[in-house]
Amino acid sequence: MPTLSQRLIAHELRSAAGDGEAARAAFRVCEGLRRQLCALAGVAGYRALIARALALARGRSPWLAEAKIETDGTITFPADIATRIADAEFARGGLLLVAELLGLLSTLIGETLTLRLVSNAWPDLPLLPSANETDPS
Amino acid sequence: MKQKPRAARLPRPAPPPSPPTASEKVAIRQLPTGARGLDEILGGGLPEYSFNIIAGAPGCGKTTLAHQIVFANATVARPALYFTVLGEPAIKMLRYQQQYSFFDAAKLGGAIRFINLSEVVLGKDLDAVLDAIAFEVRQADPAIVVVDSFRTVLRKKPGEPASEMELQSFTQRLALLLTSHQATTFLLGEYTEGEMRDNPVFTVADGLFLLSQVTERNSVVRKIQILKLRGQASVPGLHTIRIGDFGVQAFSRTLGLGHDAPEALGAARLSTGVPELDALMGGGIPNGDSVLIAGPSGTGKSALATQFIAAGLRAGEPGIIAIFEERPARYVARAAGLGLDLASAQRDGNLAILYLRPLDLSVDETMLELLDTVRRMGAKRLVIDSLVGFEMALAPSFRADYRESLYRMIAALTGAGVTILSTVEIEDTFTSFHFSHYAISFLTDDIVRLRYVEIDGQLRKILVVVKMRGSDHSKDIREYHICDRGGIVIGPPLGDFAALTAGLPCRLLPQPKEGPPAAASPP
Repeated sequence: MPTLSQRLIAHELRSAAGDGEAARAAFRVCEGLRRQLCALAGVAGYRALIARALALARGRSPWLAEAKIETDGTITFPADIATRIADAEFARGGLLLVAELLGLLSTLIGETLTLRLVSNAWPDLPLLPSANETDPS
Repeated sequence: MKQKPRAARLPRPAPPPSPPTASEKVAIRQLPTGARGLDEILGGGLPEYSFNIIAGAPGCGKTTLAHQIVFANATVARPALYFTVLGEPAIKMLRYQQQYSFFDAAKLGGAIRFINLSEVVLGKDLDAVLDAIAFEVRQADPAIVVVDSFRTVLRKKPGEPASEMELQSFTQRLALLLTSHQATTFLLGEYTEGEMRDNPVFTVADGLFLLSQVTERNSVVRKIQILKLRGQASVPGLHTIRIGDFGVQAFSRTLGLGHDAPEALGAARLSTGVPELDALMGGGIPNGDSVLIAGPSGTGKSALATQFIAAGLRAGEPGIIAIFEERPARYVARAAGLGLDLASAQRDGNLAILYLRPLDLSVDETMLELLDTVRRMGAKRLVIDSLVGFEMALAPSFRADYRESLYRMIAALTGAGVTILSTVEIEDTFTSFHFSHYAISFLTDDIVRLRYVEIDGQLRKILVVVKMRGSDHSKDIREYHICDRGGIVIGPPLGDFAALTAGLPCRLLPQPKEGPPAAASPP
C-alpha cells in the first residue's frame, strides 16, 4: 500500500500550487477517501478507520499527535503547524497516514476491493484493468 | 282456485366479464434470485418491481440472500443500491461476503453501490430517511434496492416511538417511490413469524420471505418459507436451505415430485453381477426398478451392491455409490478384496462414490446431489449403502418424515432413468421374517432378503427373492457363500429343510419310496 499511497499523493500534487500546498496533498487524499468511505460505512465507520490509521502512523511520525479528527471525519491541525514542522516531515507524516489507512482497508476487505474504492474516488487515475475487461455489463 | 302469486321477475344478471386473455394481462417479468433452487420455490423467480421483505433472526442468511439477488441482477446501466442502517457495518459485510463464489468485486462501485443511512436514521425522522432514499434512487435509477436492516429504520423516531399508522404510511410511501421508479425492493429485518403476521407494515409488501433456524438435538437446520408472494404461485411450506461457499441454496420440499415421466426403458434386465441371482429374478433386475437388499450385518449386502455396480461398469453403464458409514477408500479396498476393481472406474469417471455424512443432511439436498451426479455422468446404476446410514446422516428433524422423503427421492431418481439398489440392515429374529424396520419396502419394486440360518451346528446364509413387481421370479430359498475372490456365490435350493425363514430349520425326513399298494389282510 505505500506505493499506492505515493501514487495518490503524486496525483494530488499535480494540482498543488506551492511547497506548502504540496505537503498537504496527503491530507487531500484522506479527504477523497473520506467521501467514499462515509458513503459506504457511514461517518462513524470512517472515523473509526481514520482514528486507527492515525494511531498507527503516529508511532513513526510523532507530530501527527497534534492532528484532530472532526465529527465529520475530516482532519485538522493547529494553525501554526506548518511553521513548526518541516515540509518534508509534514509530507512524510501525511504519506504514513494514507498508507496506514489503505493498509487497514486492505487488511479488512482485501486489496481488490480497496483498489476498487480508490478507483471510484479517483476515476481518472488508472488503477484497475479497463472496464471492458472486468464488467461486461 | 287461487293462484299463487307469481314471484316478481328479477332482471337477469349481467354475465360475468370474461377473464382477460393472456395477451391482455400485464406480463410480470421474473428476476433470478441467484440462489440455486429458490427460483423454483418462488414459482419461477422474483416478480419484477415487487416490494419484498426478507425476515428472520440473526444468522439465518438474510444478508447473504440479499447479496445474491443483488449480484445476480445489478448492472452498470440498472445498478443496485444497498442501503445499510446500523446493522452489520459495511466494511465487515464486504469482508465476509466476498468469501462467497457469487461475489464479484468488479461490480462494486458501478453496478452495486453501498450507501450508509445510519446518520440520517439516528439524527432525523422517517421523512428524512425517505428523502435520503428518494435522492439516491433518482440519481442512480436502480433496478434493485435493499434496505438492511429495515427494522432499525422503523424502530427509530427521535423523541417518541412512531405510531403504527406512521410506520405503515412510511412503508407505503417507500413502496410507492420504489415501485414507481421501477425498482425491485428488498427490506431486511429481524422479525419472527408472529411479528410479521401482526404487523400492518407487512400488508404493504408483495412478498414475505421468512428465514429461520430450527434446532433439534444439537442439530441446526435452516429453512425458508414464502409466506406471501403476489402475482404468482410459490411452493408453500418450509424448505431447507444451506449456506455454503456458493451462498444460499434452497431445496424445495416438493423436489422430485415434478420430475419428468420416466423415459421408456423397455424390458431390458440389468445383471446383478451374480448369475444365479439373475436367474432367480427372472433374468436380472428390470431396468429402472428400485431394489431393496435387506439383511443383517455381515450377510453380504455391500458385497452384492458392489457386484451390481461392477456388472454395470463391465457393461459400459456408469454408476454411483452413495455411502454413509464407510469412507470411499475403504469401500474401494473392500471391493478389491472381492476381486472387483472400482478404483479404475473412479479414475476414468465412470464411477462416483459419494460419501455423505455431515449428520445434518436433508433428504432433499442428498437427492439433488445424486440427481446432479446422475445427469453429469449419465449414470445408469445407483447404490445407496445403506438406508440406515442415510437416516443416521440426516438432521433429527428430517428423520420424522424419512419415509415420505425417501419416496420422493426414489421416484425422482428412477424417473431420471436410474436403476437403484438400496441396502438396509435388519436384525434377524428367529420367529419372524421382516423385510425392514422402516416399512419402506413399499418404496421398492423388488426385494431380496438375506438372512442367517442354523444348520448342522453352523451359522449359514440364505437368500430369497421376496418380491418383484410386475414380473415372475423364483420362490427358491438358496444358500450362498461370500468368496474372497468373486463375491457372492449361490448354491442349489435347500429343499431338504423346512422353516428356513424362521432361522432354525428342521431337516425333512426322506420321502417313502412309492411302490405297489400292500395287499389287504384277510379279516
